[in-house]
This record gives sequence, structure tokens and C-alpha cells, in this order.
Amino acid sequence: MRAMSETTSKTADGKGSRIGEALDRVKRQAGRQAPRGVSNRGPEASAAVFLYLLRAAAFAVQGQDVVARWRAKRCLEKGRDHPIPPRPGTP
Amino acid sequence: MPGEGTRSSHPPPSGDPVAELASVLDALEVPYFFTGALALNFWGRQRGTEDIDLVIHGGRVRFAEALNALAEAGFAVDPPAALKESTEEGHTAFPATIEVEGRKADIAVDVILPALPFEKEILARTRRLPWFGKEDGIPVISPEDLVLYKTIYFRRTAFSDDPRDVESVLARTRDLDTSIVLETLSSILPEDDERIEWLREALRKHGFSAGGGSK
Repeated sequence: MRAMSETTSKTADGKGSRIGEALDRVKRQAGRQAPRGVSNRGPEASAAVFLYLLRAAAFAVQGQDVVARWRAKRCLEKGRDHPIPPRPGTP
Repeated sequence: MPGEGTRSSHPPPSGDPVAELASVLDALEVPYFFTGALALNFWGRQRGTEDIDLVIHGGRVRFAEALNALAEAGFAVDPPAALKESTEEGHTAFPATIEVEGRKADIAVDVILPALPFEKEILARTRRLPWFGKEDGIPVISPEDLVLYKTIYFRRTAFSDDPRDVESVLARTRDLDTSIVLETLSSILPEDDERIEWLREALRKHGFSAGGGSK
């Protein structure tokens, strides 16, 4: 399964999609002034970038059961986070 | 730190589930906020996601009212089943449709029942940030509380990299009030917990005082 932290601009057959091209454009614009991956974009640009990323992710898995994918991800992550341990002396 | 505002100059897109969720929950006046990758895009790095993370407050009755309102608004959620799942698991999810130029695709909405002991404080610190077609913006978790959550959960999986997310917030958000994060962590974790020391080191690396405060 593709890592959800990465969004590709290519479709499964290797061809670029319109959404992917739009995403690439926005990422180039957003990153133009950003030093080494640290963005200085404002909140409106942040909202625009997120929406493009969300759209790209949605169309990358178009036709799939997204809730089933969410459950599979939850299942894989279960127990991988760090619970809050009891403080010393706590019964 | 990004400037704050509540008005977007962008035209409202059609089929935007974030705006639609916010409109339903605002109309119901139920306390809620967005977190996860959406918040990270405001406060830290750009990261793609396959879900929208939403925390709904107010207890089980208001949570159930919110699920009913979302179902009535056309979201594909089954309120009784979703309430049962969220009570047992702390989360539930349903699909929401994104529409771009007549093409449709689904994204998952991850609805979270608050479970941590300091959730009320987190709710009080949420910021309203601009969103397309939402005159008053949308409520988003504060950068301090995003760092707090991610330092507690500290996931490094195929889907999550909480340490990297935290560092991206520290790199981008200059006036982060780190005392909120450190004091809360110290109140719930043992003094020698490695996450506190990791965060202190990360704060120093990004020019913050590791004892609390802003850059």
C-alpha cells in the first residue's frame, strides 16, 4: 500500500493526471520562496495547498472503499503509538 | 508564524467536504475542531492525507446530535453504528465526496471522540483560520496542541511520522508558546519520559527555550 504521507502526481498507469498537474503547479508556487522544505506561506495558501493534496489523494484512490482503507490503516497503527503511562506512584 | 484571518479570497470550490462539515457543525453550534494533516498544513509541513480528522466535543449526546445532523445533510454516516464504534474505539469514519470539474471521488472523515485529560483546554485554544467559502473560517487545533498530541502519540509508521511533523511546526511557527506544551506534558508523563527530553532537544534545535516560551 502506498504511504499516505506521499501524494503522487502520477496515476497508476504512470501518466500524469490533471489533478496531479494542478497539484504540481500549486506545490511549485507554494515552495518557490520556501527554504529547504520550510514553508513561509500564509493561511490562505496553506488552505489551498491542503485542498489540492486532499483532492489528489482522493482521486489517487478513486473507486476504492476509503473507509475500509481508513480501517486498515487504523488496524496497522493500533498499538504503534505511545500510550500515556501511569505517573510514578499512581495506583 | 502564518498570519491569521478568517476570510479567504479564493472562490469557494464545489464538493468541498471540509466546508460542508464545518457548515453543518457550525449551524448546530456543537464544539469541534479540525486536526491531523489539515492542521499540519497550516502550522507545519505540507503533507498529503487520505482523511479529514475532526474532533467533536460536548459529550455523547452532542456527538450523537452532530452525527444525526451530518446524516441529514447528506453525509453517508449511520449515526447509531457510528456512535457505537466511536464509543468503543474512540473514532469512527464515513466517506465524504470531493468534486472537481464534475468528477467525484471519496475521502474518509475520521471523527474523534475526545479522550485526553486536557481536551477542554485544547478546544479553548483552537484558532479559526480561513477556508474557502466560509466567511468565519474553520476551527483548527492550535500549533501548541498539535505539537502536544504528536509528542504524546509519537508514531513512526508507514502512514505517520509524528517526530518529523513536530519538527516542521517548530521550524515554521515562530511564536509557539512552548510552556503550554511542556507544562501539559510534565503533568501527564513521568519526568524521565523520553518524549519530554526529545521535545526539549527539538526545541533547542529550532531556537526555542527548552524551559518554555517563544523564540
